[in-house]
Amino acid sequence: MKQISTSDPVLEFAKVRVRRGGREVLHISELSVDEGAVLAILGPNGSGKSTLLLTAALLLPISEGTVSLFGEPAVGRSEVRLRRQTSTVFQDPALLDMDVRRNIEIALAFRNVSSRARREQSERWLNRLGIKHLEKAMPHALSGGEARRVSLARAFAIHPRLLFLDEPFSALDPEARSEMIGDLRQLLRDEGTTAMLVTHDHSEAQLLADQVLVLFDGVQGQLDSTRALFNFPANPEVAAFLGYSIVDPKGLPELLRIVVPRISAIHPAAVRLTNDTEGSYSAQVIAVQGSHGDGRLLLAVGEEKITATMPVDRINELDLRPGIAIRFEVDTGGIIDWSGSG
Amino acid sequence: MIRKQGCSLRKRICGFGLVLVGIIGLASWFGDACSDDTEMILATSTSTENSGLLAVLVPLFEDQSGYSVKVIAVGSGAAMKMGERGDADVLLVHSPAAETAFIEAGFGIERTPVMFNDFVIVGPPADPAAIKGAPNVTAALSKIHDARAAFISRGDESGTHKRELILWEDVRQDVDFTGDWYAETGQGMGATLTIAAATDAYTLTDRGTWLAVSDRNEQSINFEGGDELLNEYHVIVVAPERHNRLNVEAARSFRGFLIAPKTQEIISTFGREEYGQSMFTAYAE
Amino acid sequence: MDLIFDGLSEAWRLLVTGDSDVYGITFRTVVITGASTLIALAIGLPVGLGLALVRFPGQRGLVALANAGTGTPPVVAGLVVAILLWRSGPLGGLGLIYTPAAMVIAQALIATPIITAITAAAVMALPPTLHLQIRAMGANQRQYLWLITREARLPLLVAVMAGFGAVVSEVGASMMVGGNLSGETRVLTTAAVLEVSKGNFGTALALGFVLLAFIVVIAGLLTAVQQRARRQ
Repeated sequence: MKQISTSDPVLEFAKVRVRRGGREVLHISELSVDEGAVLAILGPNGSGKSTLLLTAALLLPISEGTVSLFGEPAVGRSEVRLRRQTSTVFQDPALLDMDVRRNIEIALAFRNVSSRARREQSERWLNRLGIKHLEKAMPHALSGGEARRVSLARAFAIHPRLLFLDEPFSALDPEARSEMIGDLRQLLRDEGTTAMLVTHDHSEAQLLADQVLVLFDGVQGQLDSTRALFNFPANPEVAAFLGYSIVDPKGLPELLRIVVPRISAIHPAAVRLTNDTEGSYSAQVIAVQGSHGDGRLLLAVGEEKITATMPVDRINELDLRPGIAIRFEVDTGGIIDWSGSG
Repeated sequence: MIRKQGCSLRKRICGFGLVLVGIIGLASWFGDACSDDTEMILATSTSTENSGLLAVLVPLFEDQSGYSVKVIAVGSGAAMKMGERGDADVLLVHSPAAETAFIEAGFGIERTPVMFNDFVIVGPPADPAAIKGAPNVTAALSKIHDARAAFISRGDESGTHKRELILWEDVRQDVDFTGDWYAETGQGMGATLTIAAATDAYTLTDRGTWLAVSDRNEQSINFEGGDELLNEYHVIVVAPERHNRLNVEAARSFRGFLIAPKTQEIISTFGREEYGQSMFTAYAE
Repeated sequence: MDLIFDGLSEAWRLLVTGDSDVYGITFRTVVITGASTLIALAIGLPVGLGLALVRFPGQRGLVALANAGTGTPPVVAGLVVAILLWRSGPLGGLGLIYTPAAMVIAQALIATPIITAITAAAVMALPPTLHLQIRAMGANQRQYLWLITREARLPLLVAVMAGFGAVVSEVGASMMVGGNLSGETRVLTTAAVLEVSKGNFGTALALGFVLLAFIVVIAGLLTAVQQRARRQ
């Protein structure tokens, strides 16, 4: 076995390509996750997020390149041994048809852990996730949230050196989900677990991850620290994916072209409605949308469309609806035009 | 999921096939090398088995000779087919014309009469075709045919069935077997008798089987007698030249056993206690 | 109707008076069908798992073949085995024709496709993430197959029951390769057929009731196991 030095990344992709049915679904030329880091994978549906995770978890064969875990390239013979240092939590908790405690202990049993040690570990994680009272329960008797807790306990009980989370909570209702996200955040911090998280929820990525990778059609769109990525999307595609409005000055009214001289991304929170005629621009409401308690206005400005966010209360108070003319101002701090190109 | 490459799997399947053929070949050789010569297969008509006679004779023979006998009761036609293939060592059958052909074709040797009884025509006691008192069996069948009275045939190539067909030939050349009055069961004698009783039909049966079932059958013997209805059983040793797995010694020994005076006496008294008359007549008498 | 009551009382009489013939036949039936079901399980379980889990060209064809094989007429299976085992056949020298072993072979041939097809269907019906999850937990091949089998254990019990039901109730193959030899290869079904051919419908019915009682006992046992597995 290769000596593992501390400088080796926990996970490393080199020139990895995955083809399925003659089509390339993933192409990652370079990617590494360091010890203790949490990397979130974001991207539209079908962009290859889960493929990337399964490839990293050595659950999907690659067509080209090398995936290394803990500094050791994964090849047929080493796969099971390497995989045994990882855990994976899927969207479907996929609990086995045995009671909760045995579900948690089975992964330890695979690793020939003595029954006493298995018992200690399962005991610890049953308590840690607040499901001790469910230890004798069968999976079909559990609620969605309880099943996720079992699935997390099972994942953590083996002390994974790398944890994979594939949309672990996306099937839960918002209440249970935010609770689970909070608990997972605490667990990741307490254990210092290195993790890869696939999600379509931006706030989940922001709460849990240090780094974010945005994927488009199986190719890296941007890889950055969470903060940098959300505040400074590297290109219009990433910006549009994150909810920014992409505007071309050619289609904007004269006045706006002064603050938006190039193709730019405007953060929706930077667009504010105002009664002031001074320093403001006119627009027409095209649509009123809502998500996660926030309201969203889709505005027609010249030939371009700009999105603004504002509390739902405010939208109701102003009785905003499609067709109404309004005035707005833009906080220039929320405009990215990539002119600095650094 | 497990993935395997196609070609390697195909090779494996081919390999598996080869191994299988090898095993069959080896087993075949091994089997020949240690074949069991204390075992003998007797193929016979269902009537001898159904009558219960063989259940008395076979254990006796086994005790005397030390051979173990497998009795396959399949009907005379099928029994001779088994002999042709060498799947039986000895036959006990009652289909004279077919037996002669069997011997002439060289499939069997030492054909020897063992016993006989007779065929009878049973039917509803009311006798709708009025065959009681007919001068001979041809006249009796003729009446059944002309009255289109229901008649049930074995239809299974057994000795009884073959005899029935020969008898019909004497009646007329163009018997209308497709009519509603005539039906084939394709089953053994006991079952056929039961079906005939249930449908108030006539049928041709050997006396032995009739005696065995008559106590729970409301029909009666409506015609009997005459040389045409003689039912002879012969033992035939399957010719050893054609097949290498036959147990000729056992077959000859069984033939000898059947015609031995002691056995012949058992045959001629068999059934007397239960039915008031013997089921078979031994040739030795 | 009288016949049915006669049959029932005859069955009762045969069992209560301890008719040694009937006990022998029943015991032989248990041993022969049990052995053939076990052999069919030993072949059908791994083959069914393979059909469901291994991707290879012609996989669909083989699954279809197994499904079609569930309908193999016992007479056909019997004929194939008989042709092989007859003295005039390629394996005639083994002297297996008209022995219990021949019956076990023929019955295993009948039950194997049934167990294979139900096993394959049961494993294919498991949720796809389950396979990923088990391997993600670090299972090696053996542990993976064991857990998959364990997850499918209830339908697998159905497979065993179906295979057993097919062989215990068939008569064509047993008759052909066993020869219905008294005290050697006579089982409940062939004995019943013999009684029918003799016209002894009451005794045949009695044997039928014994067979039915036997099937009910076995099905009851398997169901009990199934219930326990479910509650566990």
